[in-house]
Amino acid sequence: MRRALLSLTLVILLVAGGGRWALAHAVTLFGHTQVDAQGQVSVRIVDVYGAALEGQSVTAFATLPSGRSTRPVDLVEGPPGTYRALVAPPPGAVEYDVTIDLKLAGDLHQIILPVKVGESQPEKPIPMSQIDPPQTPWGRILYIGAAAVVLVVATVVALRKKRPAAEGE
Amino acid sequence: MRRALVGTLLFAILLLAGCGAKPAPTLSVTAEQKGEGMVIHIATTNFQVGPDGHVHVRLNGGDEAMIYANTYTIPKLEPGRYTVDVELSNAKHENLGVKQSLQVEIKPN
Repeated sequence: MRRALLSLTLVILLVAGGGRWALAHAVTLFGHTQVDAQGQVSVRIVDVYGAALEGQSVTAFATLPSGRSTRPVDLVEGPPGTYRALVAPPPGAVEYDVTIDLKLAGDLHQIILPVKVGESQPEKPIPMSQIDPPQTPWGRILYIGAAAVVLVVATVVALRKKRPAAEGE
Repeated sequence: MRRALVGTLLFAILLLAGCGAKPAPTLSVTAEQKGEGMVIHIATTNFQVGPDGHVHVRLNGGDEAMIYANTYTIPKLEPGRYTVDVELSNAKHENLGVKQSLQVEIKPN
């Protein structure tokens, strides 16, 4: 009975830790993206009414098909709502993805743009996908802690079960 | 006796905490045609756009836009009459119940 209660508590902790900590707030945003032959990325972010989203923190990084990524760079705002930075491709890359991240009110808005090295891309509007809000540091700590407790308890239970069997032999 | 004292102490702390509450925010919105679009001016008291939260704007009951400044410029709109709904929201997207609605006519340019 006690074990069942313990398991239930741990399951609840794990589910809570892995779940959302805030409700995502649906906001429609578009990024007018452009990439030049040198890898300079430019994005003009507008909302559903075409108004520019000014003064935001926008970052971008490149990812190879193997999954290896570069460090995120901060895009600098030029004209209002237009953010630019050189997102250098990983060494040896032929094709790569540029991920543009905008954190807005706790939610993450993202564009993933396939790019070929040395080829420029004309401006095109892309709807930004809104993904789960990033977990808070405390949420992560709770999640990792709960996972560690599960691991330790499961190990202890397994060892206890194994010992009497070994003694009986 | 001890319980009564603890209870009184807690009550006093709660009362004191309540005294420090921020006064209710207020909102004053004006909007006008600018070129082919519209500019909305948002003035607030007891609420700083950015640190205290943001502003939700809807045109004709449509999608919600989130504003992080006191001025919101829509570059282009079809001519016609628009209902502009503006509401203050905290950082958790909870509307604070402080809102204003106004009508704006966009004339052909």
